[in-house]
Amino acid sequence: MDMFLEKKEFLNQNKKFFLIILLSILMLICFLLPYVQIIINQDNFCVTSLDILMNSKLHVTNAGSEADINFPNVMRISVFLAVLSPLAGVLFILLKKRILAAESFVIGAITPILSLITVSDLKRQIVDLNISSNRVYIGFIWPFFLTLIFGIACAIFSVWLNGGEKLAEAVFFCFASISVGLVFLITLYMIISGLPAIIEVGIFNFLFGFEWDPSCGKYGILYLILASLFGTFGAVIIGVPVGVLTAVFLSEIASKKIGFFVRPIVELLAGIPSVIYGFFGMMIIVPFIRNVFSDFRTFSQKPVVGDSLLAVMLVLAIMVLPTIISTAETAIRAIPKSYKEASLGLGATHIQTIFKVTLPAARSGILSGIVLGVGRAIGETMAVIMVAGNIVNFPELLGSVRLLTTGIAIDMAYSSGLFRQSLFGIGLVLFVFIMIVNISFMKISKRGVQIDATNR
Amino acid sequence: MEKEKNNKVVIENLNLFYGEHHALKNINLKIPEGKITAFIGPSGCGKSTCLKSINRMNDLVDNCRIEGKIFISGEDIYDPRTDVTLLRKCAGMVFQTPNPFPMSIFDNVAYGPRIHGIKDKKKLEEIVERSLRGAAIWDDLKDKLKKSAFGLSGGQQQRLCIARALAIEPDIILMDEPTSALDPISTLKIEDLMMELRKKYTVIVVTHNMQQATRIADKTAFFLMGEVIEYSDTDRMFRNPVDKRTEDYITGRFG
Repeated sequence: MDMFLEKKEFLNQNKKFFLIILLSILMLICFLLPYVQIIINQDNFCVTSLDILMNSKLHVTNAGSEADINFPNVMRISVFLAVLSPLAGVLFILLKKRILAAESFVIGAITPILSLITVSDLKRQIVDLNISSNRVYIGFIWPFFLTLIFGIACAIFSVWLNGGEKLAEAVFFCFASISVGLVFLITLYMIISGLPAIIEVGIFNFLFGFEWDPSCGKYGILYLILASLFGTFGAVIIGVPVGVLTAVFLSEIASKKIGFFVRPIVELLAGIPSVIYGFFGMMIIVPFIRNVFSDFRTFSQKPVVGDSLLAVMLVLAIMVLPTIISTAETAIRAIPKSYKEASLGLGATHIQTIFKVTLPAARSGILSGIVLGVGRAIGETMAVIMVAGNIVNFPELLGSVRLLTTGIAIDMAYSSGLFRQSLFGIGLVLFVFIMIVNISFMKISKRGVQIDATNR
Repeated sequence: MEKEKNNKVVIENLNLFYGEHHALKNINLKIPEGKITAFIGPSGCGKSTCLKSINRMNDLVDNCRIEGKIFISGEDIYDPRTDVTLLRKCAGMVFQTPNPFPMSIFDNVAYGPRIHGIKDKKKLEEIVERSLRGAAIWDDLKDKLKKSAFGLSGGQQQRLCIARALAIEPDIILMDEPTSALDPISTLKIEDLMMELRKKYTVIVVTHNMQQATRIADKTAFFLMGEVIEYSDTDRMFRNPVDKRTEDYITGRFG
């Protein structure tokens, strides 16, 4: 009779609930088991998460000598989060907030990955102790991987908890939230690793100090910030008119044949590795600037060597072109034909129609293309290193500059201590910039969607 | 001669091809000034194409080739020397679906005058008010001229589009199924408006709806397969059509 009412589920709600609780307890137990394994010359040290949480150091004895190894803060905080999240997940389940619960479990599952990042740091410390030669091995053992599996399983069960929903949907949701969790983790990582240096130097001194001389303990990155901003700004000033007009040409003016030929070439531009752009800048733009401005001197009376902010701007302008062109072209193509017809029907010329109707209507799309371009330009490292000259200077058009990205990349290999930490600080500043750019992109493109929606 | 002068638009031996397809076959029409002329016929019969030839909107279509002549106020509009923008200023067009620009109501109406070089704000305000009044929508919109045109209902949007066409002070208003996307009440309002417009403008309207043609049109042309089958006063055509095919169509036997 009630064959439609009686839906047979693989697991009923209580069983699922019980499973979640069981799995999260297992997860917590895993954290208490030996978690990280450090082998120094056959001596095996196993560390549980509780050790990492409670003690900041590991006492190591080997061949008569003994020493302490500090656990990096990132590792301790990630473990803390990893222990906390299953508890939060259970709490959310009890509060019947399934999505939040699932999100917590996912974070609990992937947080330990963060501590993987710090393995090299640990290893460096051990090597620095000189208690062993090269026979150091650090690894995560099975409880680590179990937490990963249990966490994701918990997340799937908690989304699936509401009987009506299907298992497949829950699985999709959980895998989607892994990427969300990763963004969350990277943000966290940047803050944990970047903030200490900024605080130690002092926020004001760090951001607005104009002397960058780590060997003398001076960590002001104002010139780096300015160079990055000017470089990006210049790239936009040069790249936007070229990009937008190209997009107009491709979408409105070019015949099908020409568009067929030009569009793939523009797309190819996006696929060229940034090192190649660096080569191009180094071999063509830099000598060009050196030759053209050979009679000029910079404000600090240095000769113009060609490696300069101008070169950075030009290379970045080329690099942002494909982003701007393809986004703007898509935006222009999305403008309903009826706008153009209406405008032409009122006696406007083709060019008037483009500038007065099509471009304003495509404004939000074009703007989001520009913002995406800004995001690309501000984060670009490789091509910029090759043409910037990399000397910390007040950014002037023809003088060598060092940008935020190049600052990190150049010093990362050999720095240590506060110097190294301050590079993470620069990274955090860069990260904040990128976040601002991306959030404004989302705001702008959402507005575009709203305009379209009201139009339909 | 006197009679000739009253014909605003004269179409002579018009043949139109889309590539190989012969879309209009030897059209001859004399459209009187200050009247509403309706083009009726089944889908794909060429009535919209014919309408678009009058302000040369067909120029925008690839592979479109035109033979024959169209005169507006005695001037051949397919003469190579014709300025298409001036022609389109003289023959404003209202489209099938309301297509306001994504701008404010004021900017929508002021768009035409602006591209034709009027910059003075006072004058623009005057034109906007006159055009909106002309489209019988001033009272509805006078308080929200700065608002987006997308906030209006379909019928209001269509009247706004008519106002936008009126703002360039055309002689002829071409309407391509202006009510096909509207509900019956909005349709009625647009029809009332068209009766008003008739006093000052020559109106040519393409319609699917034969009742609409009988309600508003002074003259009606019946198109079929790219040919004008019959063209006469609306009353006469609907009371006693000359051609058998016209009779079949208006009595609903096909179409």
